Amino acid sequence: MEKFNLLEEPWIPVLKDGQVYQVSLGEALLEAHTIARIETASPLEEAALHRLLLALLHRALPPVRDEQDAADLLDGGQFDQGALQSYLDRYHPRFWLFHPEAPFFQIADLPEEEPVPWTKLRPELAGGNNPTLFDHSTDESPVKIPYAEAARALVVHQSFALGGLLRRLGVTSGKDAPLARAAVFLPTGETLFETLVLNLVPYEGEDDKPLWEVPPLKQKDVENGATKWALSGVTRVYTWPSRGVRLLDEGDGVRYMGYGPGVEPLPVIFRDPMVAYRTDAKGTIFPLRLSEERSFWRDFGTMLPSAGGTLPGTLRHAGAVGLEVGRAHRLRVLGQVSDQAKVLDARREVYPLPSALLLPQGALALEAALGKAERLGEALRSVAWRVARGVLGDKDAKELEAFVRSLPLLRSYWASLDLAFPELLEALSQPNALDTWRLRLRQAALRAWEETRLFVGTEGRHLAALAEGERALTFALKELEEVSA
Amino acid sequence: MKGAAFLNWLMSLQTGTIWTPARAALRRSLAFPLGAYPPAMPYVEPFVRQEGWAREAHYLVAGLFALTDGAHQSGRSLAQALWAAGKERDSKSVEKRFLALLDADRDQIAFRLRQAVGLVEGGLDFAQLLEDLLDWFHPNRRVQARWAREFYGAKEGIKEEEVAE
Repeated sequence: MEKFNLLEEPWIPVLKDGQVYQVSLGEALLEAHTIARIETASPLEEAALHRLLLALLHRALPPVRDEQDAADLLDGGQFDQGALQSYLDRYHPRFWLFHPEAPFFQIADLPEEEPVPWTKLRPELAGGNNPTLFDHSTDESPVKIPYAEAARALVVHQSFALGGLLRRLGVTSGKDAPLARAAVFLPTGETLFETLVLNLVPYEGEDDKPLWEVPPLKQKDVENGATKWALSGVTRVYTWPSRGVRLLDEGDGVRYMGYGPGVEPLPVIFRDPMVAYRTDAKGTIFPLRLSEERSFWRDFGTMLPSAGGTLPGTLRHAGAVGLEVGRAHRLRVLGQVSDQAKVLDARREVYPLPSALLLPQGALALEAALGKAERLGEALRSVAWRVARGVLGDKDAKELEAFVRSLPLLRSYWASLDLAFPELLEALSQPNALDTWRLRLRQAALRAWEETRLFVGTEGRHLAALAEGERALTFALKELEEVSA
Repeated sequence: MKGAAFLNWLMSLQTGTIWTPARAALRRSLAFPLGAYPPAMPYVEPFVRQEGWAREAHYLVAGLFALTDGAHQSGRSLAQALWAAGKERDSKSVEKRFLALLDADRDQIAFRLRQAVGLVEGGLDFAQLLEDLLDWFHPNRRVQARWAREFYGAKEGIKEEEVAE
């Protein structure tokens, strides 16, 4: 009845020696220094798998206290095999995907009646009320998936499940999983080992236990919201049982599962190390989210301490480690874009790791740069309106708005800057970073204008509208120079 | 520059005693299909090397030059002159005619230009006008776009090479 131990069976896709393999949890940790990275198409899977590995490391290794410890760890070249192995041996029985009492991340005695297709586990798959994003599977005929895939889907679901109607076991609605709406910050290095060290934030183990260190949950624990835990502690949050799941074994794969509520989170003041926070005008603290129409970098400024925000722990830590060891790393921002209970998109954006953000000049420069980009963006918006009014005349605002949206002006501007922004991050600590950025802004605006010119048309009224728009553009570009001078 | 050379040619006509009959013939030629009025031919044909629109454009500029009695003013484009005319009269009709001019096709352009030049006070840069007309039917319509810019006053605007980069 015990089947598929995640510490031994291959299920984590990694890039190693230029090829993609699946490895077990044990191998991923013990051999992390020989593995380039976790390699998966799904940004959500990437985030969830790293968090699982990190939870194991936090518990198995002596705690990291600061960037000095992290640098020592990096110097070692690999994790302490003895400490890891003995920890993995100790909790081996808790990592069976199928087990009569303690299946991993699941609840053994959830009812088998009214089973749910496994596709519900993957937020990016169509199903329930998710729009069809990347696939066309339907709830009526779920395909059978191998255990490895089921295990990955399970881990993703526990981290990213969106709150919403549930109506099972006396609970009407489920709560958001810890990463349901937040952007996840994952600094990355040359190997999986480096990546994991960079994300192994300073840790104090008191009052914190991952799921496998506490007694397995039973149906009675989640029925009617019986169990409530404070949402705090790094490894507890990394292994948070957001939903009750019981994968149903069909002998060689999984098609359906028992499903129900998970542990109710009690909101407390806890900052997830992989999440950035910002404060709104009323002083409420929010996790930073990904947005459907804008690239994440445009919100980099709102998480700066000077704007009342908090940098994610992983970024702070990895930045400090980078300064300590004198190496530059990269940063991945992962997550899903949602609208209430619907997933609209899953994203992965890759940037240079901005260590300079930890220094006051770097943060100031970034804030100034982002401010300039937004101001010019605003100016371009008014240019677009001027063109719209010129072409359409005094139509009602809705029609004009639609025309403004159809113009390539703003789209093209922001798209150019998407490409230019990593360069800015990389150069942030250098004195001329802002001058280069201003030049990029100007080029982006001019290129966007040229595209707009070709787009609008060449009849007299078009040319007249464009001439008006160009005058406004010239003015905006002049302003860009003056403000900076 | 074709425009400058042709302007020199026209101005050389202007200095001689033939200017009076030449002016009359050229003005009159605007009432006929371009290049199809024989009395005007002696004053244009010696200069024309090409067929088609290029030939017609020379006749058109020569006619307009005669219409204004040879009032050439270097650097003052038709668009700028029209803008000044519109301001003077404080009416929307000049702008309407200007827009119609920008949209003019080969059948309409002679008539509309003649109308537009009639609105203008003072001289025009006829060398530039010929250059512009030779390029008038280019698909990217850069000439018309520049005219619009000049008319709507984005003069100190953006240098073209910078935009095209």
